[in-house]
Amino acid sequence: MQTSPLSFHRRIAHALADFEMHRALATARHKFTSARRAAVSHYNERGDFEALRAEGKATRDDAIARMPELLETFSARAEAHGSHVLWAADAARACEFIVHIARQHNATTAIKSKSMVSEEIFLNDALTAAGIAPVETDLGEFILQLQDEKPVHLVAPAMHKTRASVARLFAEKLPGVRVPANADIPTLTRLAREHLRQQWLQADIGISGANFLAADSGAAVIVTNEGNGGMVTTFPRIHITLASIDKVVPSLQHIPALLALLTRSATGQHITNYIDLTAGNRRATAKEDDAAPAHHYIVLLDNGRSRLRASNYREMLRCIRCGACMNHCPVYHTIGGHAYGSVYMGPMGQVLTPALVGLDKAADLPAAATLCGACEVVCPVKIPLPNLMRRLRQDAVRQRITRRRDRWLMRAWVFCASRPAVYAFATRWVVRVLRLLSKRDANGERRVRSLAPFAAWTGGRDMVVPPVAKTFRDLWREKQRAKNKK
Amino acid sequence: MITDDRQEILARLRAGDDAGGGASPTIVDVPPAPQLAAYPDRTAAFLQAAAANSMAVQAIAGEAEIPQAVATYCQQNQLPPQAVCEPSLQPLNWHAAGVTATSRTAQLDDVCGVTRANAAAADTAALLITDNTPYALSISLLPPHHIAILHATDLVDDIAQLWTRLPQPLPRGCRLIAGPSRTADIEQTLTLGVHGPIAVCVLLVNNATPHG
Repeated sequence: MQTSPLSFHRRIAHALADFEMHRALATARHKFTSARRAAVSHYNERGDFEALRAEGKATRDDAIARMPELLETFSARAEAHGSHVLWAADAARACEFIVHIARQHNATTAIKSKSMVSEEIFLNDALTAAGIAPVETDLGEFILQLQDEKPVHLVAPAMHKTRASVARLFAEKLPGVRVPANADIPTLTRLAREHLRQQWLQADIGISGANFLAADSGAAVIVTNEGNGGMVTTFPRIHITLASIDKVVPSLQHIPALLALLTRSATGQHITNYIDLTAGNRRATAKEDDAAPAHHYIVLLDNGRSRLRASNYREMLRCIRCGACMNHCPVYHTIGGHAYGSVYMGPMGQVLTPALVGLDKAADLPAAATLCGACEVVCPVKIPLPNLMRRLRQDAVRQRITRRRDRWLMRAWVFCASRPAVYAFATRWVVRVLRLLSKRDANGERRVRSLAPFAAWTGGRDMVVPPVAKTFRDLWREKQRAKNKK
Repeated sequence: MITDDRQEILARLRAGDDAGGGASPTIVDVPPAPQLAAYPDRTAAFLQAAAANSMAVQAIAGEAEIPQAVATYCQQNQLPPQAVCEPSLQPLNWHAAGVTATSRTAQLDDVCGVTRANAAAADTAALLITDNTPYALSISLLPPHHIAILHATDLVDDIAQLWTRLPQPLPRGCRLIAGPSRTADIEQTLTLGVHGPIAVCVLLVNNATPHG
């Protein structure tokens, strides 16, 4: 699931220096947040978005509580429709199953609609290694596949790319395609359309993800705006649905409310242009020349989720992958999606990644938050993301996997703060030292402009030093004395 | 077929339940889905949502008018007068309108596809199409132009109501379509026609003619 060998700090440094990305993020942030706001107020003209959130949260909680039973029901109903269900304990097993299916059917090409779970298990690498050529069809994922990059966002995977960089990429990587100088966005989209159009009817396998699995119906639901979800599930002779076990919900009847939350929270749309429900394989009654996969497989992936469900972080399993938390996150908009070094980014990734791969492998992630709470306010299923991050930080301290320097600093702080005399003594010295280091500005105010060990911090701001060499406690005591004399 | 990890995963999930930790199975009270207010004028709401989703809507008085409406559509969009359609539309008098209509699964070079919609939701202009109708899923997705026939009586208020129109037992594939294929993957800029239909036109068959 982790995508970068660099440390979190190094990745952040890289991200902060990437000006093209910052420009792209600035545009996207405003578009996402204003679209969501408009969609919510539009919904409130007829209904109550808060009631819808409560419904969504309860549905997801119910599904998580009854997960084993629901998965068994889902599996039985799907098999009754003609699907083959394969349960995969981890990423390696899921890849193994999919490669096995491809080999069994002598398949050499696979078209894919967007699936974060396939990113999580590095499916494209496994397919390529097995001699099966994967083709991403979501425009954003298609761009990333050409660039050999991972998504920066859950719903807008290539959000960090400008049209100029996409044009350069197409000119370099698409054989026989002439990309006009200064190609505009419709032109680039058309070039991708023409390139991908040949693949629809030629690919042996279609691989899709799933937004939801309806237990009572054995059906998988996928939403797309491009229509590639429908293409992938309709035209190839083999269709594979790759879904993690947390995608299951009790009933098909729960889907409309969840869709209403998902699309409004993600892109501010009242609905995506396409919603495809698939249940099984080609029916015996279908016309011979009609397009429908003869074989349908469902790969159910665990990869840490059953463990997560038994932990203190199970609320994270409610997540429906809308991306609203990152759209509203000040940290995400400063460092971008790649800096998190994981397939899952932003606040949801800061909780999900350590919960799935182990806190010892991602202890820095939950620390990179201002805990401003915006993510929880917009989360369609009310995941208490700031609280979960706090809990992860506590666990990191308890398990002694925070950095040694941080632990010592914190210990020193606790020692001083819990002993008033020591605290008074220490702060008196700090004030004196700061005065020595400070310089007067034009207004006569004392400021510390730079402080060697905290250069990164003082690089962006000044520290104001009190006009007299006294601590707050000194000043307070003097004030009280003056009062008593009167 | 290979053996999978079903027992292992279920055992881990159930062990989590037994541990009594975070995951003890609790009864969750799921409130009924919130009800939305009914539209005073459902057709008007549908037209508004369709326009917002870049779908064209044209009213016709009866199914007999379909071939001529398709002919006019092709002419206006400078398309050859050819259409691929679902079998139930084949018997219409296409010849009189000068349109060659073929009933088969869609092919890459088809330009215009004609299907019926089982029903549609006024709140989002979503059309319901299923593969209980032969060829409907390929015809509604592959050609650059999709013309959908919708009877005004099949118009419901919202997606939750549209959901009750899903056929039972479920067909292999059901699709909701709410406009032409679109993307905003490059610079969050909306662009139509990334894969399938570049344009979607609804022929609304009714007596109560929609305004505009």
